[in-house]
Order: sequence, then C-alpha cells, then structure tokens
Amino acid sequence: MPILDVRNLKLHYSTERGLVHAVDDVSFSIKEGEALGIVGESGCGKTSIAISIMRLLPRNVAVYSGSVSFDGGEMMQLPAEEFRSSIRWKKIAMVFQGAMNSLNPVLRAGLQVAEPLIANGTGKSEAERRTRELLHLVGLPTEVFSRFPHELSGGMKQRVVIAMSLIMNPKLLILDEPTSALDVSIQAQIMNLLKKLKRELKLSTLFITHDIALASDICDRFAVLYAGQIIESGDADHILLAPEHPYTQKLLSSTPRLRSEYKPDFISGAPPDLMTPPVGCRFHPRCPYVFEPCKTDPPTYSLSELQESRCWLHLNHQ
Amino acid sequence: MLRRSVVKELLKTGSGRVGSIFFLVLIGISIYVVATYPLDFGVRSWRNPAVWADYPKAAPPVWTNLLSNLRSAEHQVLDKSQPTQILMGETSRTNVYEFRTNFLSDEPPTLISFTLAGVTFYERSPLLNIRFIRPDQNQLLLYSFVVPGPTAGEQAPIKRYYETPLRVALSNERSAISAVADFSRSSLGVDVDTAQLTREGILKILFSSPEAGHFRILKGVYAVQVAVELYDSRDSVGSLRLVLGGSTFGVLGTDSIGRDLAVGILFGFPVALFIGLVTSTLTTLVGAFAGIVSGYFGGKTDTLIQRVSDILNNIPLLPILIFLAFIFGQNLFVIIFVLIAFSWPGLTVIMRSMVLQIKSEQFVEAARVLGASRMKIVVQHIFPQTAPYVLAQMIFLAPAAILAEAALSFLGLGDPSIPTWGQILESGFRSGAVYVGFWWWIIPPGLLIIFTAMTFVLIALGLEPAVNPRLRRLR
Amino acid sequence: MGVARVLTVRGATLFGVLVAVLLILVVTLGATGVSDRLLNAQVSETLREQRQSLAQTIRDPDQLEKVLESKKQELLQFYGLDRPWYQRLPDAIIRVFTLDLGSARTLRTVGGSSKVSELIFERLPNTIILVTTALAITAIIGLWVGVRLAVKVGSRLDRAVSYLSAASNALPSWWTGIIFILIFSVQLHLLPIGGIFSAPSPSDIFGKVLDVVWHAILPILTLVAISVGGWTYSVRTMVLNTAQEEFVTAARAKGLPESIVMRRHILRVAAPPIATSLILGLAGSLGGAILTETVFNWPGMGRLFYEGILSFDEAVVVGLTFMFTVIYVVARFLLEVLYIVLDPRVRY
Repeated sequence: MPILDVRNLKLHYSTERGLVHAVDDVSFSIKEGEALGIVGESGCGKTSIAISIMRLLPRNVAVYSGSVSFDGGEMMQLPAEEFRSSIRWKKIAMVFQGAMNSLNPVLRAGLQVAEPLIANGTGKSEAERRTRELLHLVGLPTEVFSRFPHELSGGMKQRVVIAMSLIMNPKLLILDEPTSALDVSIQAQIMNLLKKLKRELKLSTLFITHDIALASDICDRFAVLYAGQIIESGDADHILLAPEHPYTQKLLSSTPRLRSEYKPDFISGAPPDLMTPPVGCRFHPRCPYVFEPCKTDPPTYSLSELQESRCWLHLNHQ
Repeated sequence: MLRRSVVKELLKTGSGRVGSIFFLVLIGISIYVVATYPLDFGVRSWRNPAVWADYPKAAPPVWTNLLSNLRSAEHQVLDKSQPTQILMGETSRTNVYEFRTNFLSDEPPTLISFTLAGVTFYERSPLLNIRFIRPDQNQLLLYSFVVPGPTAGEQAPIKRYYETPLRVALSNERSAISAVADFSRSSLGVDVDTAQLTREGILKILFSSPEAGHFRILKGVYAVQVAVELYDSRDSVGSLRLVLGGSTFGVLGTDSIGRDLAVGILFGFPVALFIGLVTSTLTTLVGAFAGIVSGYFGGKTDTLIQRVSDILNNIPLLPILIFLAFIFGQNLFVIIFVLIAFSWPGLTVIMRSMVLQIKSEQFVEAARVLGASRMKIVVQHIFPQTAPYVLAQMIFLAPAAILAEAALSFLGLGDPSIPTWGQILESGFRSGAVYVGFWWWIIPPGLLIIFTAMTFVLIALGLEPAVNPRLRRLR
Repeated sequence: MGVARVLTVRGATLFGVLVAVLLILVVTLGATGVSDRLLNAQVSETLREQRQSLAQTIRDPDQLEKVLESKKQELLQFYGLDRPWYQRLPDAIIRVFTLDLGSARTLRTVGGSSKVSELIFERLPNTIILVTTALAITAIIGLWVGVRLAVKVGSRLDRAVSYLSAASNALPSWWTGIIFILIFSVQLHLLPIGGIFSAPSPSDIFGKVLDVVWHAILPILTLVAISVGGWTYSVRTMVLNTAQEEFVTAARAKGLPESIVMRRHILRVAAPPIATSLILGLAGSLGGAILTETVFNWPGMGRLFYEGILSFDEAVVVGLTFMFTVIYVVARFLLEVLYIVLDPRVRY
C-alpha cells in the first residue's frame, strides 16, 4: 500500500488577471521508503503540489479538489485544526525552497528546530537533547543550537532546515528544491546527506526539483510535470534512459553532461502561461513531433508496468 | 510624454480624480481672490479695525436662522456710490440714493446707522434728507442734515468727510425719535411719548404695525431714500452706507472685532496654495539636486551631503521652527525658507539610493562606455527615471508645509501682514471664541486647512500606482 | 562589539543633532544681537539687586554710583559683552547647554521663581506624563488593531483605517483639540476645557490624581486621535509584510498553533521595523504635544513655549527649543537601544 496516494489533485489560484491552473488533475503515489522525484521547469506547478499536500494554501485559492490519502486515511476531509495538530510535521514534514528564507531571523536556530517538539509537550531539556542529536546527524556542530540564522552559512542553514524537518520523525518528507540556492560543492554535500538520511531513516520522500540529473541520484521513481500536469512517470531507469514523452526527451537532452562529446539541446519556445494553457496537449506548441491529434487532450498510456506517458504518439502501442 | 502619462495614471484612480477636482477648486478660488483683492489686504483691511466698525461683533452666519424657529435680523451693510436717481431743479440738483431691503426677520434690527464719506461743494452747503418708506407705503422724513459750511478763510472747493466719514446712529438721533413719535401718532394712530421711545428705541415702531394693542413686525420691502441736494454742478458726493444692525451676518459670520470671516477666509486660499506649492517645489529642487549630486558623484561631496542631511533630517522640526520664526520675526518668507532648509534632506537620502541603483544599471553603463558626459547621463538617464517619484514626494511635502505654517500661526508666529487660516484660528483661540462656542469662527478655517492638505494627500495617493511600478523595478 | 559599534554610529548622528541645534541657537542669537540683549538684561538685574544691598552700607550716592559702575564693568567683562558675539560662542554654548539663561520676563514658577531653568524643569514632568501616556495608548491600540487588520486585509475596516491614516496626514492636532473642546466641554459639558487641576483642587492625594486624569483625558485623546490612524496602518503593513515571509509558512507547516505563529514568527520579527516607525514618529509626537498643551492650557513645556512667545521672552524660547531637542535625542537613543535589543541581526 502506498504511503501517499494523490488522485486528481487540482489547485487553481485566482489573480487579478485571471485563473491560474497551477495543479491540474495530478495523480501519483509514493510507496513506503520510496523516493519520488517530481521534475519540471520553474513555474510548472511543482511547489503548488507540495503546498496542496501540506495544505498551506495562500489566500487566493479558487479551486482545491481531488483526493490525498496518507497512510490509508483520506486527508482532504480532515478538519483544518486536526490536520494541523496530527499530520503536519508529525507525519509529513517539508524542506522549503531556499533555506535562508525558511528560518526566522530573530530566533536561535536550535529553538526553531526544537519548536514543534516543545509545542507538542516535550520538556525543554529533552527537546534540546533531541535537537543536538539531530544537528549532529545532519553534520552540524552542536553549538549551532544557540546561533542566529544570520550567523550561519547557506549550507549550514540548509542542514538546520533539514534537521528541523526530521525533529518529529515524519513518515514522509517533502523536499522542495532543497539545494537550488546553494553552491555546487555544497549542493553535493547536501545531496550526500539526504542520501544518507534516506538510507538510515528509511524515509519516504517527495523530491521536487527542476534538476533531473541531481534528482537521479536519490529518486527511485520520477514524475515529469509540465504546465500543471504530469506528462510522464515511471521508475528512474526508464525515465532517465528511455524517456517516451517528447518533453522528457527534450528535458534530458538539454541537461549538460560531464565527460561527454554530447552537446546539450534546448527546448524551443517559452514555457506555457498557466493562466491560459494550450488547448489539447499542453506541450504541443513546442513539440517537434506535433501532429493533428495533439489539438485534443491526450490520455495517459501505460507503456509498461513501470512507465506511463501522456502523449498521442503512443496511440499505436495499444 | 512623461507628463501626460503621469496625469493619465493620476486620473485612473478614485483618489487621484477627487484630488484633482479639489485642486482645480482651490486654483479657481485663488485666481478669483488674487484678481479681486488688493495685495496689501492684510494691512489695509484685515488688521484695520476702522474698516469693520459697521459690522456686528461675533455674529453667526445668516443661515443659522434656518436652524432656529425665531428668525433673527440679518446684519446688513449696504453701500452706494452712484445715485439711483438724479432730479434736476432750477437752482439745484438732487442726488437720490435708495437703499432697499426685503426684511423678513421676526424681530426688528438692532440699529440703523448712516455713513457719508467724501463730500465736495462750492457755493452752498448740500442738504440731506433721509426718508423711510415702509412696505405698507407709509413713509416719514427720518432725518435732515446740512453739511457744515466753510469756516473762516476756507476756500472752495470745500471738502468734508474725506478722512473721517460722517456716521449718524439714526436710531439714537433725537430728531429721528421725535419724527417717529409724530409718525406713530399720525399714521399708525398710536400715541407714544418720546421718553419711552428714547428708552425702548424707535426701531420697534419703524418696523411694525399696531395690531390689537400690540406692535407686530411688518415684513416686506423697506426702502431708505437719501436725497442730497447740491447747488453747484461741480459738487459731488463720495459714498453712502446704510447699516441695518442684526445678530447674524453673511455666509460665515464675523469675529469678535466685526471682521467678515468670509472675506478673510477667501484670502486664505491663495496664501495656503502659495505656501504649499512654493515650499514643496523648492524643497524638492534642493533635495533632488543634493541627492543626485551625492549619489552620482560620490566621494567627499557625498560624505558631506550625507552627514549634513542625516543631522538635519533628525532635528525635531517644530521647536527649531518656533525658535527661528520667533527670532527672525514673523515673516512668511522666513517661515518658508526655514521649512525648506529643514525638509530637503528627506528626499536627498532616498534620491541618493535611487541614483546609486540606476547608476549601476546596464543602460547607464552603456551610455558611459559610449562616451556620454556625466551631465548628459544625469539629465537624460538618471533624472527621468526618478521623476515620478520626485513628483509624488513633492506633492506630499505640500500638506506638511501648509500644516507647519498653520501651526506656527496658531502659536502666534504668523505673518501679521498676510492673514492665513491659521491666524484666523489663532485669534479665535486667543480671544476665547472656543470657550463661548463661536463655532463659525473655528470650524471653517480648520476644515479648509484639512481640505487643502487633503487635496495634496489625495493626489499623492492617486499618483502611487504611477510611481510604484518604477520603484519596484528599481529595487 | 557589534552593539557598541552600532550604538556609536546612531549615537553620533544624535549627538550631531544636539550640536547642530546648539549652534543654530547661539549663532542666531549672537548674529541678531539677541544674545547681547539677554546678557545686558542679566547684568542690569544683577546690578539692581546689588544696588539694594549696597545702598544699606554705602550712604554716599556718588560713591554708590561709582561702586556700581565698577561692578557693571566687571559684569560686562564676565559675560563677555566687551567682545563681539562670535568670540563668546563657546560661553554661549555652555550657557545654553546648562540652561543658564537668566530670568524670564514675566513668567514665574508656582513658587515664584523666574529662573528659566526652574520654569522649564517645573513643566517637564507634565509634558513627559502627557506624551508617554498618549504614546503608550497609541502604541497599544495600533498594535492591537493593526494585527487584526493584517489578518483581514481588504476588509471594510481595513480600508477605513487606510483612508483614516492618509487623512491624519492632513489633520492639525491643535485644531482637533479645539474641536474636542467645542464638542466635549462647551457643548456637552462632559470634560474640563483645559488646565491640569480643578479650581478648588481636591485636598487628598487620590482625589488629586483623579483630577489630573480628568483633565488629561481630552489632551491625550487629541494626541492619540491624530497619530493612531497612521500608526495602526504602519503596524498593519509591517505585520502583513512579515506574514508573507517564507519562514511564516514554514512555521505553519511545522504544525504550530496559530497563536505561536503570530506571536513568535510574525510579531516578534515585525517588532524591529515597528520600533523604527515609532522612532520616526517621535518628532511628530513632540510637535503635537507642544500644540496640544497650548490648546488645553496643560502646564507643560509646550504651553510654556506658547507663553514664552506671547510674552516675547527669548530666554524661555531658547531654553525650550534646546530642551525639546534634548528630550528628543534622549528618547531616540532609548528607542535605538530598544531596536538593538529586538533585532539580533544588529546585535551580533
């Protein structure tokens, strides 16, 4: 049984200019101990998926529907207060994009890590002991406990944020671009840390990133997001080595590689506007293989047990 | 181009539209005042008690009558300098001046007085006859008077009442009293003795008719005819004034020395606009200039300007303003100068940081690489970028200046030669008008200060959408 | 280390303000000849006193005049009146700084003293009471309402307050005070028209305190009314800005109850900028106090300013200008310290 099962999730925002279809009918699931990577260009709705799972909705939400079941229980119907006190951080924790912004500048790092524990009734000294342990686990000197965020480097802050996400022993960890604001060398350190944590803590992980190469290191499965919709999903090997959807193919061939004669490709055109997404296949204005059927919405084809793709090109597979 | 787009943006917002309409109202009134008032209005009229001698003291506005059941008499000051009629006689010419008023009060006027100014004659002294005509067509000769003839050795033309006009309080004049007593007996059929009339006044009888043993106020059109008989074609009469005393006056009432508040308040419009616009414009010029110099040229100039503006910016304004206005005397231009001297740094600090940002933008670098001079870069590239923001700041400075001048005036440091709303309020406060409830003296000038300041605030608010996107881009 | 540096930088500006005001005062007084007049007045007053005491011992009028003439020369020299004004500047600065400004023309303290410094210090507590009470009330209302507005941005109340705060830019405090008198004292007879004590003041301490409170209601109401709109609006805006920060979302994600999120992650972070806006509003509050005291005949330094102007008393006006600057500088410095306490980014 999957630990997280998302079905037909929709999240639309209303803005002055119109409705933004940030998440449009998205379904995916994560098995226990598995790491699912959601990849896509910036502005394709990745973060919106995370905040709809955490139910951290902004004020201007117009549509929020679908089903999110966690550990067998449906969460969309859960009252807000119960969701806050029983799910957030205790079951599902999250590492936000840009660690520098997810730490309160006027509170000491240790308190921010220990805060959820204390709020749930753990004694101060016990909470502090747990926090120091965690800081050690994420590779920080324990005196970071009494430091203010502005006294820490970017990498250290990222580690504090990771420690913070682990404080309640969550079952599922959502990582939203956990390394995008860091130097490449620090990025590698953090990725190694995440791999280690995944191995040691047997965490189920939802890894949200625009960098498929980076995510390939840690993810067991991938879902490729384009304009608020998942256009291809499958296990890591299939997606990385034998992508079926033209967008995934383009995305992979646009990733530069070390020690290779290969010249990176690029995707022509601009990413679609989520306000007025293209009719039919959302990728068709930029797709090199565009043909007549693309003007209508393609169904999702199961290409194998391990791979699904949402493209008219697979019409003949069936 | 830029100007047009700013105006367009301004008119898009509600507050911008309202502010613009208010502003046009202020400009319109100010133009009217500047065109019709003498420049030395403050000294010649406002501060001159003689001008206001015929006006009631601390009278509320006429329209307050609408609020009470009993309609009290409106104080009227009627002036005539041209005769209504000229009757030619064989040896003389009679100038007839007719004053008419539609009298609708429930009580008689408190007084009638007559003023004559500037008589010139050659041969014989002119003769004046004042005739009172009631709505019921009854009339009487109220008062006769001969202008005093030449004194020994005085040569024609003889001039009378040029410096001090002749003022006759008709209601207390003995001959008028006996004329009224005669009139009452013969025309109204009521016997009154002169002693009683002297005590109770003649106005009650003049303005009423007997009805079942009572005198009842007679409403309608009354006329007072002043006939001046002149015996030489060169003789002339300057001006005549008839005052009907009452307890209400004009649109805005009067203050405790009888000044028509409407007149003073109207004069306040151009003055307030002048203070607001001049102070804000000059402050903005100085502040923007210092900011651009500081930001663009850097170095020691920058450090110096920053230090000075940092300190000036932090000096509490009102105490130092009081001190300087107190020592340098109450002069509007001193006040404006001091306001400018202590307000420019606010803009300088912001301008500097904006200039620093723009300076490092690519198009400025490009212009520099292409060999544009510093002056050209500042004028063509930096200033236009900051202009909308500078404009908004300038408009925001205006209400501050108007309020500062009003506050100084209120503390008794206003320029006595130029009446302002603040000064009218100050005289109201100092003479205790507040405590006896002379609200008509207190409320209008205050509301107008707020109205004028609010006009600028609204325009500044309306400009915000035009200014902000540019700011956001800079940040 | 850091704290000391920051405090030194901020303190330097404030010290600069004090020096600048001192210079403006003494140079203006010197250049306009007012300082000569003030010092001459002091000389002749001293001479008058000495004449009285000397007249008891020296009977011969000629001798008396001679002694007095030499005394006068001594005094003129002592006050530096034999030198041009710009050479006396250091003395003048010290004199203003120590409020050694001689006697007021007509104003007297309750005890009858005419010394300018005694006059000012007698009034000082009344001003402090008025301003701090009004500030505290404004701050509390502003924080309380501002936070609630931030939660419901765009509501009718929110828009009302934003218009109100814009309007308060155009509202003269003194006129507001006058209108309050007109309404509450003259029309409704609810509150006294001014002053600090009733005419027969209550004899017991408790009654006296109540009496002062009674008289303070309208002036405080005025001070609060003119500043509360703008202050509330700036609290609202700063809370709103903070509430949009990522760490607030993170705090919510952490499952913290909304009360902790508000207190610890929004208000605590918004506190330093809120303190800054308090700092920036201080000069306005002092100005408002001068005018409001004048309107309500509240016997503080502001009313003394007005009385000094009415009695053409340069010494009083000079002393008060300086004293208001001192109060401002001291209060600013305290608030800067508060800011540093609130914001660890400055502290370390």
